Amino acid sequence: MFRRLIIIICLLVAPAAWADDPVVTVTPPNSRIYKKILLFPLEIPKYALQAATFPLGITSRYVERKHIQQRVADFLSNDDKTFWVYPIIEGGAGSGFGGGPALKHINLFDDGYQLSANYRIHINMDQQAGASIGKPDAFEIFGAPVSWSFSPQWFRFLDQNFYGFGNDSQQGNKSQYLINQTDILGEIAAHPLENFSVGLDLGYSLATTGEGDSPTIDSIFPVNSLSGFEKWLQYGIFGLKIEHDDRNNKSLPESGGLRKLTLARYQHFGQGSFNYNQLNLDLKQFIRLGGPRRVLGLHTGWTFQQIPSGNEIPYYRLATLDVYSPLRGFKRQRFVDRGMCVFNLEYRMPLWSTVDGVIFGDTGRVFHGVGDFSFKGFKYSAGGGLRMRAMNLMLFRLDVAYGGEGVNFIFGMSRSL
Amino acid sequence: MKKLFLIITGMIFLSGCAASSALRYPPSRWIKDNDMTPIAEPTERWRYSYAVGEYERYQLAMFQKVSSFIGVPKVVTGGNEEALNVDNFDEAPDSTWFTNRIGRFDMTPAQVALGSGTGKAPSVKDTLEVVWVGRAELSPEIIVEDKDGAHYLLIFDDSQHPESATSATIIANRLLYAAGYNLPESHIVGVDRSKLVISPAAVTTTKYGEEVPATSEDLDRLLCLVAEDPRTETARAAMLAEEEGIPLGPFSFSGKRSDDKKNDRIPHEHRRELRGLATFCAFLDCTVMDDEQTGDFFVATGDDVGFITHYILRTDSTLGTYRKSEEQGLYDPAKWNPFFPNAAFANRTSRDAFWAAAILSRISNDAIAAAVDEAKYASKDKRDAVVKMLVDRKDKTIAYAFEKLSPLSNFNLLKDGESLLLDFDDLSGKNVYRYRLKTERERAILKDWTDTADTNASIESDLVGRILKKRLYVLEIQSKKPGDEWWLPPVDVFLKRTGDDEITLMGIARRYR
Repeated sequence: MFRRLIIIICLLVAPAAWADDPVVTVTPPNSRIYKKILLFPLEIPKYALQAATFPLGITSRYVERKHIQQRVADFLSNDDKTFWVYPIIEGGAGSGFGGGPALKHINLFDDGYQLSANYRIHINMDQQAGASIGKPDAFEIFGAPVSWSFSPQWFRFLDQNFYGFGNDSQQGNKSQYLINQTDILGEIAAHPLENFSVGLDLGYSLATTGEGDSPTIDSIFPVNSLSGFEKWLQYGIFGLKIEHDDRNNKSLPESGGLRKLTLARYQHFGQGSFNYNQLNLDLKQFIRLGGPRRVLGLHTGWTFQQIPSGNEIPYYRLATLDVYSPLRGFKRQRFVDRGMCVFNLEYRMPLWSTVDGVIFGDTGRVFHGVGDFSFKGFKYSAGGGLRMRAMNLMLFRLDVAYGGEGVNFIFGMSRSL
Repeated sequence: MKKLFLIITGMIFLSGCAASSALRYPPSRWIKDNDMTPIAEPTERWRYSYAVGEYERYQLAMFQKVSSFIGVPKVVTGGNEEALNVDNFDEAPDSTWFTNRIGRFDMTPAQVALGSGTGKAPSVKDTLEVVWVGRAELSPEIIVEDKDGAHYLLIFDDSQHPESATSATIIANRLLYAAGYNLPESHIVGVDRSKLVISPAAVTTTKYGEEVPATSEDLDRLLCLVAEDPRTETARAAMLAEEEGIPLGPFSFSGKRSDDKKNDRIPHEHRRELRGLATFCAFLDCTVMDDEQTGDFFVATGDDVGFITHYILRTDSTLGTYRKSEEQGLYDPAKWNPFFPNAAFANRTSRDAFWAAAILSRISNDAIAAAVDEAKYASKDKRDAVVKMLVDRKDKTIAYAFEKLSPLSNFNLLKDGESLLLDFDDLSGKNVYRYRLKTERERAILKDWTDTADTNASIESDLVGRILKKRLYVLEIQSKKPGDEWWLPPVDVFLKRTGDDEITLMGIARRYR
C-alpha cells in the first residue's frame, strides 16, 4: 500500500512535460509483414520437418521441462561428469540393428588421461569392439604441447557387402563376405600452434576374409579377382597427419572447420606383395547462419591409393564410397576402387528445443587412378534427418536418404557431418 | 507463374515503400506507449528455460545473414533490422518496460543512489520466516516473509567472494533504474542468522527445477556457504523487495507474450530498451542476462483486469561477479558478450548502442560513486577501486558507441527572426561540424556543406522561403574531431513545413558509414 502511494505521488509530481507526452500505440511497421511473406520460402524446410515431427516436439518440450536429459546424464555419469557409462544404439544402411555398452573417462587418475571403450553387436551377429587411451598435452617438445593415444580395435562382420570394383558396379551384383580384422594404432601429435597439430601414426593391422552369407562373394566374382581373399594379411602402418581443427564443438559444430591431411604407408609383412600408400584429405567447414543451431555444413573427402609396381591392394582395403563416407543414399561398401571423393552439403536447423532437423545432399564417385578422375558419373543422394541433442552434444541421429537404390534409414550416435 | 511474379514484384515494391516511410509518429521526441490496456489476468506462469524458444530468438537474424550473403537488397530483408519501438527521434518511448529517467531529466547523485526505493531499508531485526531456499548455483539466496507478510529476496555473498554479489546487486540496481529500467527496491542489510526461521510451508528447488518442501537442514546447508561480516557477526545480504502485482514468471528476450496481444506488440528482440540493455550490461560487466534475471508482474487495475509490467529482478551477476579472475579488468566494448546469448542482444545495432551510450553519458561519475556508496563496502580502497572500474568502463563504452555514429543529440529548432537555427548537443565533447540542407531524396541541395565550430546550424531566411509545404527536407550534419581526416557518418534531421505554415522538426535518422 505504501509503495503504491509512493508511485501515485511520483506520478502526480512528475514534470509537466511528462504528462503532455503523446500516447501512441507503438506497432511494428507494415513492411515487416511483406518481408515475412517474401522470406517464407526459406522457412519451408523447417515447417515441413516440424509438421512431420510434431509429436516429437511435444515430447521434446516435456523432456526439456522435466529436465529428463539432465536426469539421464546424472544417471549415466559420476558427480564430476568425468566418467560415463552409456548404451550405443545404431543401425541402418544394410548393417542391421545393433548396440552395446560404452564407457568414457575424461580425467582418469585425476591426471588428464582419457579412456574410452565400447562393444557393439548387431542382430546379424556383426561384432566390433574398441578402446582408446590417451593424454592430451601430455608433455612438451620445443614448447609445443604433445598428445598421445593408443587405440586397439577389432571387428568381425559376417556379411560385409561387395558389389564389384569401380564406379559402375551394379546393385544387382551384391555379394557378401566375412571379414575379421584387428587394428592397433598409436599416435603422437604435437600442437605447435593453436588448433594445429602434426602427428605421427604407428600401427599394426591383421585381417582375413572368407565366405559370408548368401550370396557369397565367390559365387558372383571370380576368386582370382579378389586380391587377398581368404588370406591372413598383416600390415605395419606408418603415417603422418597434419590437422587444423577450429570447430567450436566436435559433436555439433556451429562454426569453424576441420582440415586434415593423412599420408600413410601400409607395409605388408609375410608372403605376397600387398604394400600400398594412401592419402586422405578431409575438409569440413561449418557456417553459423544467424545464431546458434542454424548451421550450414560443407564437407569434402578424398582418398587416393598408390600401389608400388608388383604389389596389389586387398579388395577389402580399397577406398570406399558408401553410407559412412557419407553418401547416405547408398548401402555399406557400395562403391570401391583406388580413389574416392565425396562432397556434402548439410543444413542443420533447430526444430524443437532438444531436436535439430537437417536436410542434406551428398555426391561422390570412386575412380581407379588420378588420371581416370572426371566430373562425370557422380552418384547423388539427398535426404533429411533429426539430431537429438543435449548439453550441446548429439545424442542420437536419424537420417532418411535416397540415392536411386532404395530408401536408407540410418540411426546411431555418431557425430555430426 | 506470371501471377506469382507479379505478386512478388508487388510485395517487393510495397515493402520498399513502407520501409522508406520512417517517420511514423507525431513529431514528439518523448512519447508514451499505449501498453496498459486492461487485460484479464494471464493464467500461465512461465518458468525459466534456456532451451525453449532458442530457435525463435535467431529466426530473423538468420534470414538477414542468408539474404545478405546471396545479395537480397536490405530494403527487402530489413538488413540488420533496427529496433521497432523507437520514435522519430530514435528514442524509446515510456512503457511498461522502460521509463526515460536520466536520459531525459537531470538526476542528482542522491536520486541515483535512491534507486527505486524510498531510501529506508526494511527492518531485519525481527524474526524472518524463510519461505524459499535457493540452491546456491550462483549465490546463496532465500526468500523471507516479515511479520507484515511482505516478501523479500535475500542474496548473500558466498564465503569465497565477500561483498561481491551483494554489492553488484545494489550498484547495478541503482544505475539501471536511473537509466530507465524497472527494478525492485534493494538495500544492503546485515542478517542475524538466528532470526531466520524456516517456515512450515517453505520450499526449495531441486536441480531439476521441481519444488519440494524445505527443511531447516536445507537452510543450514545454504547458510554454511554464506560469508559473515566479522564486524557485526551478521550475514551481509542484498535485500530485494517483492514487486507490486502478481508474479507471472520471467519475460523472454524474444517473441511476444501470447496472452497480452493488446499491449505486447513489439517482438522483444526488437525492443530498443532490451537491445540497448546490452550496452549497459557491457558497462556493468554483467555476465548473465537472460530470462532468469527478469520477471513479469500483473498489476490489477480493476475487477479481474490489469496490465503487465516487466522487470529486471536480479543484477547480482554484474561487476564481473562470476567471471574468472584472469578475465577481469580486460574490457573491450567491441568484444564484450555475456556468457549466454539472448535474442535482443544478438539483434542489437549501433543505433541501439548509441541510444544506450547517450543515456550512460548522462550518468555522472559522482552518480556512479553515489550508487557504489550504497553497496557499503567495508574498505574505502575497494569502494574506490569499484568506482574507478565503473568510470573507466563507462568511458570506454561511450567512446566505442560514439566512434561509430555521430555523437550529436538533443536537436532543437529555434526561430532567429526570419531565419531558423537548429541547435544540438555534442555528447562526446568538442568537435567540428559541417551541414547541408537538401530535399529528402537529394533531388535538390538548398545549401551546400557549411563548416562550423558551433553546435548549431543556421537556415537563412531565403532558404526558409524555399521550404515548400508538405515536403520533407533534410539537414544533414556531420562531425569529426579537430584534425581528423574523415567525417563521421551524418545525422539526418528532417524538417517539414506543416499545414499551419510553421517549419517543424519531424525527427532524425542516424546514418551508418
